[in-house]
Amino acid sequence: MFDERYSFIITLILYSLSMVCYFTFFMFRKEKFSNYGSLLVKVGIVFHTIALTTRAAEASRLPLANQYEFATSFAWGIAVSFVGFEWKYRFKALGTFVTPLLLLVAFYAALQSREIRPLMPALQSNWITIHVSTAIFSYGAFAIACGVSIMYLIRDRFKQDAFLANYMPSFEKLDLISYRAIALGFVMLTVVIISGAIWAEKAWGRYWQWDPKETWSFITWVIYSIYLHVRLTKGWKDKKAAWFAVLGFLAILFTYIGVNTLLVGYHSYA
Amino acid sequence: MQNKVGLINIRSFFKSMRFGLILLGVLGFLSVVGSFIPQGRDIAFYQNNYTSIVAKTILVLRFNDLYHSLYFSILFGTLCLNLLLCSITRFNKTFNKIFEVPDVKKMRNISAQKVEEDKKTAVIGEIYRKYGFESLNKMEKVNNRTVYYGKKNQMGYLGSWFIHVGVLLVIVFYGYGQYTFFSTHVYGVPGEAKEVLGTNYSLEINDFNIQYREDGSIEQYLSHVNLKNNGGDILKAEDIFVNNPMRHDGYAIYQTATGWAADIKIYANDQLLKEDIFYEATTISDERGPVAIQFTKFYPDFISTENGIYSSSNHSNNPKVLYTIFFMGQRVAMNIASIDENIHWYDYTFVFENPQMYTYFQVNKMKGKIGAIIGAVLILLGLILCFYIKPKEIIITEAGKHIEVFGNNINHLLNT
Ligand code: HEM
Repeated sequence: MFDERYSFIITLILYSLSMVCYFTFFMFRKEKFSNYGSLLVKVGIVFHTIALTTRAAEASRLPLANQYEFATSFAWGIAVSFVGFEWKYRFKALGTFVTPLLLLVAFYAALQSREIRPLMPALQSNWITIHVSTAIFSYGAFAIACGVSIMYLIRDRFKQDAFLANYMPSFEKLDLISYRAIALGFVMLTVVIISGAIWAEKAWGRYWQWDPKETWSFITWVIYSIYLHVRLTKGWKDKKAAWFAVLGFLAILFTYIGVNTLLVGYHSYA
Repeated sequence: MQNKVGLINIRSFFKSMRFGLILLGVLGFLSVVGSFIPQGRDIAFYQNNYTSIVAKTILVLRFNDLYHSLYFSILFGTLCLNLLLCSITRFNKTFNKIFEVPDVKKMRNISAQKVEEDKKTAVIGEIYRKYGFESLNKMEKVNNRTVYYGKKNQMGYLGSWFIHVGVLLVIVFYGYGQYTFFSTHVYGVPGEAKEVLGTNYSLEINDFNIQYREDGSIEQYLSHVNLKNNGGDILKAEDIFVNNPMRHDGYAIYQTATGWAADIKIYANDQLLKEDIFYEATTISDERGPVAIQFTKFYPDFISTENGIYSSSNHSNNPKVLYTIFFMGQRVAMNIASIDENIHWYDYTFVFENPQMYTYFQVNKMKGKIGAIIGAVLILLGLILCFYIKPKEIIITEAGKHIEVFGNNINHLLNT
C-alpha cells in the first residue's frame, strides 16, 4: 500500500469507478450512484495523497519536477478542487462533468515515465515551488469551471429536460460557480506567471522571453481575462462566457501537454 | 459637426473595453501563431523547412521573429494607450464611488416591515448588524424619510482599476527593459581575469567547481569570482551558481554554461612560439605563419569502440583531445592526442596540457525590473480586491412606522 506504484494504480481504479458511478447516475438517473461517485473520489484522493507523499519522501523533494510528477499533482489538484466545490455548492451532477477531466489528466500521468530523477540545478529554487504548486490549484479550479460551463451549455441545449432541470443548478448558479472558480484560478494563474517570471530572471537572466510555455500561459491568461470582461457585458453573458471557459481549459491542457510534446523551448526538458 | 461626432466616436471607441478586448484577442491569436513557428532562426531555416509560399509568408509577416516585430510592439503600445485612456476616464468615477452616498435607486429592495415607534432604533440596529455592517454612518431627511446608510469593503471598487494600471506598468516597463537591454558574456578558467566587454568591470575567476551527487548527477555549478572596477578595486567577491546570479549596479552575472579548456604550447623548431589557454571548439593560429590548430573536441574519459569514439563519463579519467591542423585555411591533419603528448607537424610541435573545465557567465543589464514588479503586485492586489472584497451597501429608510431595507451585494444569491 505504501508503494507509490500500487497506490497510484489504486487511485486510477477508484477515479475510474467514480466516473462510472457519476455516469450511471446521470444516464440512468439513479441518485444514489452520485453518492458512490463522491465517496470513490474521496477514497481516491487518500490513495493519491499516499502516492504523492511516498514519492516526495523517496526523492526528498516535492514531486513537482517532471512531466509525470506534474501530471499526477495536477490530477490531484483537480480532485481536491472538485471535492471542495462539490462540498461548497452541493450539487450532484458536477462529478459527471469533472471526473472525465480528472481521468484525462490522471491517465496522461500514467503514460509518463515514472523514473525519479534529481533536480537539475536550474530547477532548484523556492520560486519554482511556488510556481508549480499554484499551477496545480489554478489548473484544478479551471477544470471545475470547464466542467460547470459544459453543464451550462448542455442545460441550455436541453432546456425542456425535467431531470436536468432538477439535478442541475439554475443557469444563474452555474454561471456564478464558473465565475468563482475562474476568479480563483485566475488569481492563482497570475501568481504562477509572476513567480515563473521571477524564477526565469534568476535562472536565465530574462524574466520574459516568449518561449512557448510562457507564450501559452499568456494566451491562457488572455482567454480568461476576455471571459471576465465578457461576463460583465450584458449581451454576452451566459453562453458565450461559458464557451470562453471551455476554451480556456483547452488552452491550459495545451500549455501543459501540447507545449511539451509539440513545441520546443526552455521549459521542454521538464 | 459630422466630423466632430465622428472624432468623439473614435475617441470613445479607442478607450473602450471592446477595443481593448479586440487588441487582447489579436495579441493572443498572434501569440498562438508565433508559438508554432520556431522563432529567430536563420532565413535558410524557413526556406528549407516550409514550402516556398509558406516561407515567404512567414518572412514577409515577420512571423520568424514575431514577438520582436514592429507591429507586435505597436499592438502592445496601442493596448497601453487604450488602458491609459480608460484608466484616466474611470479614475474619478471609481474614486467617487468609494465616498459617495449610495443611491437607493440603484439598489435592490430587500425587505419592508412595520415597527412600533419605541422599537424602531433596536430593529434598525439589528438589521444592519445582521448584514454585517458595524455602523450606520449618516442620517439625512429625504422626502420626509430618515435615511440611514452603511458601506463596507469599498476598496473593492479599486480592484479593476488597479489591475488595469498594473497591466499598463508591466507592459511599459517590460518594453523599456527590452529596448535598453544589454547583454554580453565572459568565460575563463580559474586564475584568469577577464574584462567584461562593454562595461567598466572585469571578472577575476578564483575557482570553479562542479558538485556531483552520489548518483553522478550534477547538483550545482559553482564559481567563486571577484568583480573589479577599472581601477582594480574589488567591488564584490561572491559565489555565483545557477539560480544565484551576482548583482551589481543593475548588472546581473549568471552561471550559464561550462566546457573544457586546456593549456596549449606551440613550438616551431623547438622554440616556444606561443602559450595560451585553449578552449574547446576554438582555433588558435600562429600569428606569423599560415598554420592554425583547432581544439575540435575534448574526451575526458576516452573510449574507442567499433561504433566510434566517445567519452564514457564527464570525469577526467582518460583525457584525450581531438585536434585539427589547418594550413592556409586547408585542413591538413586531424587526430586524437593524449595530454602532454607532442604533436608534430613539419617543424611545428603542439602540446596540450592541464585540461580543466572553464566557466561561462552571461552578463545582462535589464532595466525596469522594479517597475514591472510593482505592476505585477498591483495586478495581484487588484485581483484580490476585485474578486474577494465585494463592496456592500445598505440603506434603511424610516417613515413613520415603515422601515424599508435596500442593498447592494448583501443577502446574495449564494451567500451561504
Ligand atoms: C490586459 C489584461 C486585462 C485584465 C487582466 C483585466 C482584468 C479585469 C478584471 C479582472 C476585471 C473585473 C472583472 C470582474 O469584476 O469580474 C476587469 C474589469 C474591467 N475591465 Fe479589464 N482587464 C484587462 C484589460 C482591459 C482593457 C484593455 C480594457 C479596456 C479599456 C478593460 C476594461 C475593463 C472595464 C471597463 C472593466 C469593468 C470594471 C467594472 O465594471 O468594475 N480591461 N478587468
